[in-house]
Amino acid sequence: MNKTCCKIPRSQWIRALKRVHVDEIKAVIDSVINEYDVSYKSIPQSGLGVLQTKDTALHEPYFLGEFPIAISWVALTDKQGNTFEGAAQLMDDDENLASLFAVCDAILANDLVACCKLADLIEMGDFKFEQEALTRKAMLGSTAVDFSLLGATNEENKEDTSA
Amino acid sequence: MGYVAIKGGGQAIAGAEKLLEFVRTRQGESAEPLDLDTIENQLYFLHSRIMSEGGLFHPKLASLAIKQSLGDTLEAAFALRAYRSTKPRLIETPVMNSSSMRVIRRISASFKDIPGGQMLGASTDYALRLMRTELLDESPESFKAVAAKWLDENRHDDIPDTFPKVLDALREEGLLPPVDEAAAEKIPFDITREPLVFPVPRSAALSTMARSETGSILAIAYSNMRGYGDIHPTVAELRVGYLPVMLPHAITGELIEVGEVLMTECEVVAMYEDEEDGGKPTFSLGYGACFGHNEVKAISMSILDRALQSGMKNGPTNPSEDPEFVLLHIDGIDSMGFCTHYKMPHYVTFQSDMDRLRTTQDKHDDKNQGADNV
Repeated sequence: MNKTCCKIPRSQWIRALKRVHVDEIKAVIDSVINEYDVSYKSIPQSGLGVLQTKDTALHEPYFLGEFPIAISWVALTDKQGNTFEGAAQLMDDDENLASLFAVCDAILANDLVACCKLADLIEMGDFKFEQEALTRKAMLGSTAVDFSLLGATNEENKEDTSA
Repeated sequence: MGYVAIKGGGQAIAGAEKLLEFVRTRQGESAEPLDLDTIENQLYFLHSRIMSEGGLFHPKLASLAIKQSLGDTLEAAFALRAYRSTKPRLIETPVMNSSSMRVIRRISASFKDIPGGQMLGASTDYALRLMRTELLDESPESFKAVAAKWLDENRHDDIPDTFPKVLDALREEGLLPPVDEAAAEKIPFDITREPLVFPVPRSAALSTMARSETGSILAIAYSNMRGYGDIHPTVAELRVGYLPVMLPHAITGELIEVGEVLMTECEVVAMYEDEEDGGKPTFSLGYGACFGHNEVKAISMSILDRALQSGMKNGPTNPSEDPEFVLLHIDGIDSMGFCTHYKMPHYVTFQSDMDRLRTTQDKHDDKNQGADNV
């Protein structure tokens, strides 16, 4: 990857962008898109992906099911003729959204104009993801079973021996 | 079986469609239409069930399917399955490893002290099954206050992002069969592209069971539990969580997180078997997984996986070990379709049945008259 002003790794950009209101992303892109000629390296598409996973008992791969996927691959050419590519795949039905994210990917990966504004949005989305992660951890932490308490009382001793 | 084209029913059919829409909306001005987020969150388990039985992880459309089908699970799963059949297949993920799951529930019936600890998560396991009458007139204010209070009171930053698998610990102790590296390289069977022609590989069975109808797979697994089989499972680990879905970036090839799916996964340890080659005896294993949060389905699937492995290896000794019996009778769309087709006009076949019955009755009468005359 080329230099980028974004601290969040590229592997997490889509995850973060999906948690930002799309109008905020569009506003940033609209402010700079006239600087570039946008072309598609491949036709944006929406359809299905199939999720391949392995059973964790015998480690045999199988298909768990399908999910929506939108994909886009764009090239931005500036007025000096320099070309910068970006691509996006996301679990969504909307290929236009995938194209928007692909433009973001090109800007972020190549540190183009508005990179820092997008990087701020990425950080905002990443923060939201972290908040979700904290909620999930709270689900676990608040229901963690403390078996060390077994044996602390007669009643629980009985539970222990009858289990 | 014969069918006949029906004329004259067009208006009635259009009327029936409009009437169904009236039934959906008849609360009128006293009600708000169901919004999709409400369905996803407040009908959480129903929503999960539709995604897994529809075979498509699409939370928004699963909600819509529930809404338009007025909560009929089979119709909702059918709508989701029909939708997926109209979309092109664009991509196949690399083999995802569920050990990277962002867990929200994790329990074991095998050991108290599993690596990483047991966390009950959100569960109905300990519910008293008494009617919660306080919900009869729940106000929007009290509804909102519950979630806000829970979030305020629960902060646990010291929980790891992922957890080790209980089976890995058992395997390290030599209690489980070693991983078959050749099996890990197999190309999985795609049930959306190929029909089930028996015998089918285990991957076809896993995929078929993953999108099976919950009640159907439970019923067949229950037959095994009750005695038409001898799996005697112990749940090594049951986990629910969000599996990140990774795809290679089109330009760099680096794996990118494109989303996540909520899934339930269960591994059961079953009776040990003597190795045919004289190797060390080890426990046998069963595996179940599905989209969404559906523990009954994942446990049932893991029991049937073990039963089917036994049937595939030694020949079935009961229905739950017979791949053809199990896999062809657990799909809700298939079975519902066959069942409901009996409502459709069978005028020609029934006319034929009546003709044959009358002829047989005439012969019967003739025979009896003949006997009377003797």
